[in-house]
Amino acid sequence: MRFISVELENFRPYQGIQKVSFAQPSETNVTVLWGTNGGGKTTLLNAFTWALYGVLSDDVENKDQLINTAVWNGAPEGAPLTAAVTIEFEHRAVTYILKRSVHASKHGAVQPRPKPSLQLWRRERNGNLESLGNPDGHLGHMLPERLSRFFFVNGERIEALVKHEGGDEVRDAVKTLLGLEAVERAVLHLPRVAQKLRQGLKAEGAAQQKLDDLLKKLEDADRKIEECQRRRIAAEKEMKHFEVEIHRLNLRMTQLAEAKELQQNRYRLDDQLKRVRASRLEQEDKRAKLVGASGFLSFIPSMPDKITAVCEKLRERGELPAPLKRDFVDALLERGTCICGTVLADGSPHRNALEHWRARGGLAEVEAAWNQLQGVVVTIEEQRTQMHDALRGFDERIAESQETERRLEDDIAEIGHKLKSLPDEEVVQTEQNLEDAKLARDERLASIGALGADIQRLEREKGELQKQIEKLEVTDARSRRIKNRIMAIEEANNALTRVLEILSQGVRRRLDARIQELYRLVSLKNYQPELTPDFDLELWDTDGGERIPAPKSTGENMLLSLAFVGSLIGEARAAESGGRTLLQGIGGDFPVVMDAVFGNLDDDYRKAVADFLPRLASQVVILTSKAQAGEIVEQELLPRLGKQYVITTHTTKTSVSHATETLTLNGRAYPYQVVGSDRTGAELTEVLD
Amino acid sequence: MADKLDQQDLEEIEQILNGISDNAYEVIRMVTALEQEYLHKPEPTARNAVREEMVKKVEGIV
Repeated sequence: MRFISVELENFRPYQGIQKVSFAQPSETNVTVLWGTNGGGKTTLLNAFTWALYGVLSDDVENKDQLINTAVWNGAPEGAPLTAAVTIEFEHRAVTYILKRSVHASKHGAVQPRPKPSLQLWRRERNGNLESLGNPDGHLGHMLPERLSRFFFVNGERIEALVKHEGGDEVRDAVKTLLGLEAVERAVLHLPRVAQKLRQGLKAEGAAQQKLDDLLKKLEDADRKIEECQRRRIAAEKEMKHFEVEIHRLNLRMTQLAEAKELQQNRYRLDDQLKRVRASRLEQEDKRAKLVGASGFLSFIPSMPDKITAVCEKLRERGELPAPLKRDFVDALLERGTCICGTVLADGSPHRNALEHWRARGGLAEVEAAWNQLQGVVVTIEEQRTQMHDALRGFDERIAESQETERRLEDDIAEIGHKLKSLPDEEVVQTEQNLEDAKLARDERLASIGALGADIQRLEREKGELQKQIEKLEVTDARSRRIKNRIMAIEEANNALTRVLEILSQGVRRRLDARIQELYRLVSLKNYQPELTPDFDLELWDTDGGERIPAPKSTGENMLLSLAFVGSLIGEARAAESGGRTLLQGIGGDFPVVMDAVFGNLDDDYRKAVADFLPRLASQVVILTSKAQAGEIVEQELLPRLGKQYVITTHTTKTSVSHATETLTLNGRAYPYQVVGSDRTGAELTEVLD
Repeated sequence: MADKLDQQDLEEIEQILNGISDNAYEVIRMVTALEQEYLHKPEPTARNAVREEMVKKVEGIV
């Protein structure tokens, strides 16, 4: 997707019709719109999201007042008025024109609640415009709303991405990008389809009563599972909240001079504890697998001797190995002649003697099995010894890990005590809050575990009920067909659940690699980013050999967030070119529109961000004030600038402190803030080369 | 590294999809297409629509 232009008609502070044409993907792919704070930059960002999705960001005041106030106030009573945003864009080599507008008749000073309408046209090869039905649906396939906040970025709020509470949004964005949202919904919805089909089953006589009972129980189980899932989601949210709090308090502790060293130590010990615990769990897992595969060896200590004794007896009696093969005797009997030439006529004593020998003859398979068994029996003792040695090894390592864990837990607890006995009251209070938050988190963790066990139990019960329903004799062909359909749905759902997990973790892994690569290119610190399996964006300091959470500054947060946005854009591009849109994910090249990305950054980070932005996407639109960007940004962006606009702010106020009247760009002066104007509003002017 | 793992993922998915019956495969094809169609709708609307339409669509399975 690439934007060609956006046209505003009486939209918020933009009076009349005003248009911006964007720089196209090339070496000069950046469009910069210079505007003062409160001068209409954020409105322009919102114009995109309003036109595409009908939404304005939370910080927009008076959301219903979409029609320019000067136009509204100046119009006579009853006059029909309009505000609209029109975006012309190209997607997969097709040009589209999108227009969202709101119409109202003026009655009084306050605008009524807007009822916007949306139209979408496709430009045909001959230049004609074809109107498309279901414009929301079309847009949902091109750039879904769930992804919008990553491509229309408010710099002041993008930092939330790298905070723990951003995990859900990141996860949702990733799923939308790869088309996993549809699979996720399918996994949720298919059991309901099966449930509905079951209601159509019919059985014979008394079996019908049983079927009704089973269906009712199944419905109850479903209801209980849903309730448990709802409670588990709530507990997970609460746990996440406490984890955010713990994270915040831990970081706060590192900022308190008295506590800093102890807290750094605690981070290290926590990290060690995490690794020791993971290693113990791995050992326990391996031990369980060994017991599962070879544990039986412990229960057959006398078996090899018994087998050997039995076989020895058979050997002594001359039965093993057999003196004669049965196949050989069978062949002689069939031929009717012995090897000595004697004819083996039916009922003759010679034939009878040979048939007697046939009963004593051994089978080739039995002999082979005997030989194999001999080999196995002699190694059973050896295998048992090896297994016991391996088990002892696991037990020792597990015990060692448990001991280390206890020691580390004691050391961590000791740090807690030390922190609480420091004179600084804030340290003591922070530590107390930390303990409370950990306790609350652990309580939620226990609830999640208990609810998980309940869900598993209910799922087992449900499985049993389903089996019972399947076993019931259904009376008619129709019910048999329903059963087949239910079976197909359940099989499909199991397969989709497994596919969903593989795809989710796969895309997370790729994004993680991209984020690390992008972040390494632009970061000013030697930190290591990570997109965790829970889709949280973490930043680690690995300088001391141990991995401890890096203190996230505003600058590093911004770079990390931009690296994430860049990784999403990269993934979408790769999905398009590599044909990886397995499940109709969102693929293609996407532009990025960014507002206020330079605010609150020092010069080094402004330079780093300005250097990074043009490389982030093939088309970049930046909304910034001259004061936020400064000379550094201008210099850094200059080689990549394709188009520039000035948003002139008009105010009827006659006095504004520190107003910048003009902005000089490319050697020309442009009005920037017009104080004492005849109107209030914003005006767009293209900067000439 | 990521490409190698991607390849593994794809092979694993292929195995899963090859291992299911034709009917189950057909259900997957139908339900993902339907979900895609209702993706921009709120979840409750999509849930009801998918349930009703899938009940009809699986009538082809005998």
